Amino acid sequence: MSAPEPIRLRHQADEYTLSLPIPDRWQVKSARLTLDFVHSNALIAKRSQLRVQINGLTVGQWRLDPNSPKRLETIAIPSEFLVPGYNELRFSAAQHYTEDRCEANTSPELWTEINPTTSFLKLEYAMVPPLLSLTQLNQVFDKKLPQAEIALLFPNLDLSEQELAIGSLIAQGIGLRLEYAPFRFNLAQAKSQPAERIHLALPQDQDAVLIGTRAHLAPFLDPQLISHIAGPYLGLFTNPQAPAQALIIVSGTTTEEVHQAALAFALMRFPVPDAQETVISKLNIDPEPGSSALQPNRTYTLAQLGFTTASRQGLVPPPIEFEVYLPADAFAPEEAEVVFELHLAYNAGLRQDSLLEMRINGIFERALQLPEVGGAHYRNYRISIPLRTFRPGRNRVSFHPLLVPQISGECIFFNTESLKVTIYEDSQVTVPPFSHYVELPDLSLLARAGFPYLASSDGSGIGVHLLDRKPETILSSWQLIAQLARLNQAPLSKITFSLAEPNAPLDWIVVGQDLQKFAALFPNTSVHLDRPKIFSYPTSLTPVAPQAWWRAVLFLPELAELKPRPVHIAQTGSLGRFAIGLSFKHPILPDKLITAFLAETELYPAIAQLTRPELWPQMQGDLLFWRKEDNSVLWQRTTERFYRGSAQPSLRLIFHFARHPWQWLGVALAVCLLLAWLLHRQLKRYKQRHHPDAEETAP
Amino acid sequence: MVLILTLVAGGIVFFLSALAVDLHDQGLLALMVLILLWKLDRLPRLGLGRIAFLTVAGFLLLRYLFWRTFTTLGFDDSLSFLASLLLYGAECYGLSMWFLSAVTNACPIRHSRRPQVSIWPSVDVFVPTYDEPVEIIKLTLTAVKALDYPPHLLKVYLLDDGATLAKRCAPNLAAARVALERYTTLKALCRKLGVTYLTRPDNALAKAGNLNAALQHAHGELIAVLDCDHVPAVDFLKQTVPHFADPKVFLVQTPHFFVTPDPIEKNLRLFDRMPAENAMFYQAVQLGMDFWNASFFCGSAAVLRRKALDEVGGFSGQTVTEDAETSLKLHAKGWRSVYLNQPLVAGLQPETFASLVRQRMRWAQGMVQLFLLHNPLRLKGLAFGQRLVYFNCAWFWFFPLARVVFLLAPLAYLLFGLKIYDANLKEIAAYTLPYLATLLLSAEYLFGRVRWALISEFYESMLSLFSFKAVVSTLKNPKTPRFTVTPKGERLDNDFISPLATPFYALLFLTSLGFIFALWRWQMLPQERSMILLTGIWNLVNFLILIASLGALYEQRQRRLYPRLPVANLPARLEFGQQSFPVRLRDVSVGGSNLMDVSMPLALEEQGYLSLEHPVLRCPLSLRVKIVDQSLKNKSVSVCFLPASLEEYRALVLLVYGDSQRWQMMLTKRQRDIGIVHALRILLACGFRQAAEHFVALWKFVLWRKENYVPVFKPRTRSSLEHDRPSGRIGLAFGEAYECARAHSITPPG
Repeated sequence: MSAPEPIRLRHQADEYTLSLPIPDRWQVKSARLTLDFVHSNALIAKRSQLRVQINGLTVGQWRLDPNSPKRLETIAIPSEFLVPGYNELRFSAAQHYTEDRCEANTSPELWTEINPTTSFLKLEYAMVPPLLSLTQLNQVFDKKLPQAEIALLFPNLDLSEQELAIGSLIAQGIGLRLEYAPFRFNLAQAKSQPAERIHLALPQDQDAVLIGTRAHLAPFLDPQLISHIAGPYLGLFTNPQAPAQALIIVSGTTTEEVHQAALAFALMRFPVPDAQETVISKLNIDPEPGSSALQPNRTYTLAQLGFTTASRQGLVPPPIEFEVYLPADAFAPEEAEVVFELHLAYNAGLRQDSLLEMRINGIFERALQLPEVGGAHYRNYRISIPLRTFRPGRNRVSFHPLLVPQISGECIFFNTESLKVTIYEDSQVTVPPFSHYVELPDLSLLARAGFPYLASSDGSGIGVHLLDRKPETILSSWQLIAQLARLNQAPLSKITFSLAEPNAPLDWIVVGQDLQKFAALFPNTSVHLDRPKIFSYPTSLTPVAPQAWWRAVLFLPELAELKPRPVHIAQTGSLGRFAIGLSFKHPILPDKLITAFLAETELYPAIAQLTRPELWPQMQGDLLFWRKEDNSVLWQRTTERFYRGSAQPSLRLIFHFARHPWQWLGVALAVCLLLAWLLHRQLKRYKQRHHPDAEETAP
Repeated sequence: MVLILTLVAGGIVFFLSALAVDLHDQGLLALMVLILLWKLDRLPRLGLGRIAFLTVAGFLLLRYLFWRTFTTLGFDDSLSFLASLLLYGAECYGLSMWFLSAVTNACPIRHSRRPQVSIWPSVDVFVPTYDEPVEIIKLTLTAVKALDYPPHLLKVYLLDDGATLAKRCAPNLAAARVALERYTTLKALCRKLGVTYLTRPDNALAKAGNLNAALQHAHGELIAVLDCDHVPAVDFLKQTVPHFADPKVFLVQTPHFFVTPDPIEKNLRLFDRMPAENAMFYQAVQLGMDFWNASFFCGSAAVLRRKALDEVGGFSGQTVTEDAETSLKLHAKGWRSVYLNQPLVAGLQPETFASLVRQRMRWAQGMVQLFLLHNPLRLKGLAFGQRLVYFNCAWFWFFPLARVVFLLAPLAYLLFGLKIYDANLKEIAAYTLPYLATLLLSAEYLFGRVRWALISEFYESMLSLFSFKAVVSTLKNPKTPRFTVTPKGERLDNDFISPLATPFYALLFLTSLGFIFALWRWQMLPQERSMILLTGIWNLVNFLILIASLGALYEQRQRRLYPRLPVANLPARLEFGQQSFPVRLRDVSVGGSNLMDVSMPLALEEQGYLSLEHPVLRCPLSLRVKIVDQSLKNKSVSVCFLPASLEEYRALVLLVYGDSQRWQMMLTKRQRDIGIVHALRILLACGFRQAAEHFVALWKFVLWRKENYVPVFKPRTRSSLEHDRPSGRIGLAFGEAYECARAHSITPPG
């Protein structure tokens, strides 16, 4: 077991809860929990203890003896306690430093720390064969699996552009089902192997998806099964060689039907039909799909944003949270504000320093004081947050209650039951007017919101160009598209795959290992992958600009400005095991973006690593370097930036001047002085006409 | 082509003004603009530099206006919203005034060349009077009769509205007796001076009616109008009449130059230290208005063409500012005006703050009437520039509404928590502070030599509390206001607190309370500290203005009817019998003089002669004098004049008032640009000193009340005739009352 954050238990009573996912297809045989923890040596053993609970049931407890504060303990957890789904693993501590006197609840010597890296849970499990029903697709591709690996089988690996699109839909369907969980694909040619109904050689330890037209699949399936493929077809079977593994067949009588079946596979995330096979006769997609992104100048209830009325209880209960999705290219003047009108209530008996902290993406923004001792119920409690506080894409808005009982102190009963606060779902969020205007390239926008590729939610603006047809290249493109589909939360059905030059008016993703071809196609990129290679080296990657004196005078905050000053060195050598991501303006098509993911070797492992939750958000700038085993990416800003969007001219200017304040100053003063000169000429002429004998004078 | 380019560039500037760039862009712009303005301020304030200054400053102000409009007017609650709208309206008014003022003052001009005249036209001089002292009338008529102009072409009329038939036959016998006495006295005076005395059956249409009635008796080509407290220099007509060589000129206006301080200057003892309050209008604004051919008649010190007046049926009397109204009509008919920036008359200011308020209320009402009844923006015949300038002049008089809001706005937040200004500290630094700095800098740039920093705010704040009601009542019923005459020539024998001080006490109390609330809010509402800081500083400015106002409301005594004027150490000889010795005149008035270099003791009441070379008449002058005071320490002696004849009196008047160059020198001496900070320091120092005196007097008054002695406190005012003064208590004569009270307390009751 490992957790990214330290587990600290403080005060007289504290607890820490972990979510322990058990996939539906696991049958847990045994489980042993090993805890490495340290506790305060000021505790008294008689009254102090650490308790472990699974789903509310106590499975172990230890006395916290000050004579042996460093402990390594192992307990067996009854396997029946661990059920498929998310199990609650809770550590509770009772900590005391005195036996017979009342003590301060928050005394600093009351602590226990569990080491998250050396503590672990060892599970032994067996895979359960899936139920042969398409309703089980979500269980087959289960986000609770620690690392899913799926084989994609095609009768022929010389894939056409249409088959590439089909493969990407399958990848998206899997990626969407796995949500945030990491996954990898294997691309393989279907090989026949005699077996009952399905004559196919399949990997023993992987689920697989077989894709092809009825004709192409005929050698691998018995005639009866083939006869079922009378149109776009989906079927769920078990691996004949390893019954615990699933096999999904995506087929049709024509390639178009296979495409339709693949799209259905990507879309069908609701558990119907309850059948092993299905033939799709018609598939209608709303031509104008709704968007979960906030629209300008609109008011939403929190219910519309997916929030349901929530109450919290206790001193420091978990936050009340919801998400808002801001379009990545949303741009508004600095003073534009998102206004929250909260409908909330809190209980009587709270001390006046009780409050509700509002955080946006974990950053503290505002505090709502809860000052009424008799409790209160507020409607339309207004909180205004500048729109620019929100990041492109998903934003987590959280309200952290800090509730203090009115009566507290040593040896006094704390009535924590009455510490309650509720936020209602009919609270409202009003979004100010904004335009769509953004500076590109910026890989952080791709990371956070898939921008600009997800500008249309069906993927019709995306072009994928493969530099070569190697399986690694193909898988890399699918992996990236599946990642984009996750950000989109819907399949991208209209992606264009191209093996020819990427000159269609689309935003292109270029993937491949043929660096010579890439260099030939795009000779003017900041990094030359031709011979000799030209690499970009940052001389100052993230310098902070010195505080401008005029900002200090005006009490304006210091701006941390990224001022990359890359040098380019032409040299021999190669990328080696590094993969690179490169984003730049399309050399021919105005306003279109190209993002290339390239490597000489190990492209797919690197891409799979990049799409992991810990690496993907690190993308920024326009040039990335990373390796398949890295947990961080190196980035630079090397290329010329350009603006894109449909903002009014005034907003475009605001956007531009925000990045070039001296230009703003120059333009404003130049125009003023020009006007002054013209006015002076007019006045001079007027004076000559009406007062030829008078002199101008300064009073 | 240039016009099109100008319009395009103007459009771009307007567009950029509205561009809501990021705060750091605005901050950079504001800082650089302020530096640029500061640099431009160091260059000659003429030509391209002047226009560049106004354009760049205007750009920054316009940006503030757009930001203020679209960012800061949030709705919190109804009362806050109402208060914030009132403040916003007041700010919009202020900004509109700035832009109108910038247009008006874009290109001030002066007429340095006097046209040649071969044939002098006939001139009728009208001296309208209502209730002014006879001494003043006599003085003015004597000076008018001495004007350097061909005598056969000059005819002088005294237009007496104080002794009309209606007044002489008034049911109130006492009033009728006063009117009859005035009638007899003035008629005799006119006969003696060779002036035509005119009166009329009634007082219809006030001053305009009086002037129009005189037009029926006069037939000169030009009409010179002089208020009866405006004493002309001998070259008044010689300087003004040549400009009528242009047949389209209907008016030559000269500045109203005052030889006495206005009550605020007098009470703060700022006279001679800072430019006169009216200098901004007569030494700067009128020059700008002249450029647009919109310099208008100011009721006196002007010459008008009879033909033009006849074209519009004489002087207009629909509003109580007949002068501006008449000019407006004539400008609309295509006539031209000339502003001659040369002080050629010497006038008297009102003596008390109450009189000043009365005068300014009339002006405010008149200009608001003009705005409503003859709106310059709608009146046919005016050129674009004229429309803006007249609109500017009329619109200015709405300042009481804005000023009252500015005085109360910080209290609305500090006392009641009303959210009047929705901005954080960074926004205030990037928008509000540069806006305020630009206002200060541009006031300094345009008027620095003729109006010190914050003097406008100070005067306007003091007057606004009273003009507010006048403006509102005129807005409700524009035809109601009646002409009221400003009292002149009052003598105040003692210091006293103005009866108009009461609202200032109330405001000072509230403002002080505001500070306490500010401290409380600072502690209790840390999230609102930017707002508290803004309103707190604002409240402090108001507090300082109010303190200085209280200083100005402690009326200083004024015992002289005739002001003493400096004469630059004019050499003379003082003769007593056989004794004769040289002296120098430090100052002189029609009543007397202060002589220097007198080391030998002289007997009081002794009479002798003062001989000197008359600087105007260029001939020897010998005046009979009487010693009234002597200071051996200072080697000075005060004498009073005893003119034996009308000729001597005339020579004396010309000695004091005949030389217009002296007025120019006095004016120039007062016009100095000492910078914003220094000006502020002087104003505050004087204000605080006088306010301290005010409070001391107030404290004494409280002490007397404790001793159950509540006398009726009034200033002792004197004038030669009964005046139609405001009714009710005029003031508290603390000096006198204190003496009475002390005497009373020393003497045991019974």
